[in-house]
Amino acid sequence: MYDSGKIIPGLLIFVLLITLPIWYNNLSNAGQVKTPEPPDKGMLMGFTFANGQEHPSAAEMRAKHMEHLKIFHANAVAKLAEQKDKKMPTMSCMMCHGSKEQFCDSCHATISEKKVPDCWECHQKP
Amino acid sequence: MKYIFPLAVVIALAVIAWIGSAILGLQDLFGIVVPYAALFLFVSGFCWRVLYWARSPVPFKIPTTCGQGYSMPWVKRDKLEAPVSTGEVLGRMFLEVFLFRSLWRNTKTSIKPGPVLSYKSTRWLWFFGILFHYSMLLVVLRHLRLFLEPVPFVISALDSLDGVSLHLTPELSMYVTDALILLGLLALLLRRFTLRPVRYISLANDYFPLFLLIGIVSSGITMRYFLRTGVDIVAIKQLALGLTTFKPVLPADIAPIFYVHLFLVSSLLAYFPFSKLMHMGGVFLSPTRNMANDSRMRRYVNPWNPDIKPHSYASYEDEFRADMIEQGIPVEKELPQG
Ligand code: HEM
Repeated sequence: MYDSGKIIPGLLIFVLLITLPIWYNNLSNAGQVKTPEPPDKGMLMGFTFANGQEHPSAAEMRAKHMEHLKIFHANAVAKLAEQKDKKMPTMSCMMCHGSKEQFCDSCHATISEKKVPDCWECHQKP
Repeated sequence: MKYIFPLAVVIALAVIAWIGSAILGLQDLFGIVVPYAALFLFVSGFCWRVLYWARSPVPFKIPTTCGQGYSMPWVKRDKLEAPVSTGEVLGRMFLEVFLFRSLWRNTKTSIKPGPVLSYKSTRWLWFFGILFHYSMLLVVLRHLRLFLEPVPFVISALDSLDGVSLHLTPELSMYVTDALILLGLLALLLRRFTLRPVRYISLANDYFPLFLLIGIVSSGITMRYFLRTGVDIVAIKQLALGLTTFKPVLPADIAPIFYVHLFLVSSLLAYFPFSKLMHMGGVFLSPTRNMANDSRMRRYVNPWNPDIKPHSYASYEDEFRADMIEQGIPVEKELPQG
């Protein structure tokens, strides 16, 4: 073999980089992700919104909560514009899901999801 | 028409993963067995290929020189195009690997009315090549958030940086590199379709990696922005971490689109070492780039030269003197008397 003094170390660095997740996770002892607490079934069971709609399932919410929030937000804004008194609507997810740390951050931190919309520029962090 | 077969193969791979995970219930095959096998093939195949290359000797000093070489002190020389020292070679390699410098020098030959032969530099290939490769690098680095626990700061910082300007409303919150990688890939594909000389020399194994990458990227984009049902990223991270710690767990109910994405990535990994994609390792081993242009300063010896000892006329005569005298050939020194 020629130039093994340069090629072998180079190859070794490459293999170390490619297998980074393997040794990183085993060294950091992270092993398994902390699975976020399953939402309390009793609470979700049969919950209906004021407009008669049922609360979507937890799996549905985990995968698509942004789409729901978008519609929810647009409706609320439209409703607010119609209202004479401009009183802020009080119905909100946060009435039940009372903690940002528990309901938003537990997943968002695990997967380091940084593309969060600017909800908290207006809404108070619960 | 050389693109039909590779296109069909990529579509077939996607359909296989979809059917396998959605209908046949083979999640453990597509989620665990295939990714392990693909990673094993990738790493071992890559090493095998590089070590195979390392075993080939380079008989001659063959750096490409595209500028003034080292000569008289008053002649201005080009250190990067005709490097003579290790440091200068490192500079040249750096520009080659990180900025694709040899594509920057691409020229287009044409005959203008007259007729006049003209060479014009064209940098579209360089531009879309850079666009694709750097977007891919960022996308892959960002994916580490699914593979590392805890997520290192650099990775989450990349995630916030990539797309910060489009971050005004939730509807527009997207990764810029998603659009750029797709743009780069489509332009590279269009180049093979439209430029006649390039189309002529394009083979199935030029189209296949392009279609495969387009398949990977579009399934990823579909999964993130459009088909969200059943794409629970926390569950997917559990699967990924289980794979890396060799305690695989298979969360239920992950959508088929994820298995399509993962199977196409696995196919890419398995295909990589046996394809032209090995230019990733090969660029470092290119003698025309990584040798110094110093053949007039240091003697370069072909490594497979046999060890031939010098044989002067005097020693030749010493060896054959008796025979030469017998044949009547004149000699410089007579046989010793006695
Ligand atoms: C060659 C390697 C890969 C490429 C080029 C690639 C490309 C992409 C792209 C362009 C996206 C769109 C969103 C984004 O940019 O983050 C994406 C999303 C995604 N990819 Fe990949 N991918 C690769 C490997 C993988 C692997 C090995 C996994 C296995 C866990 C994976 C899982 C995902 C998931 C779960 C999403 C959705 C992310 C979300 O919704 O936030 N990808 N991929």
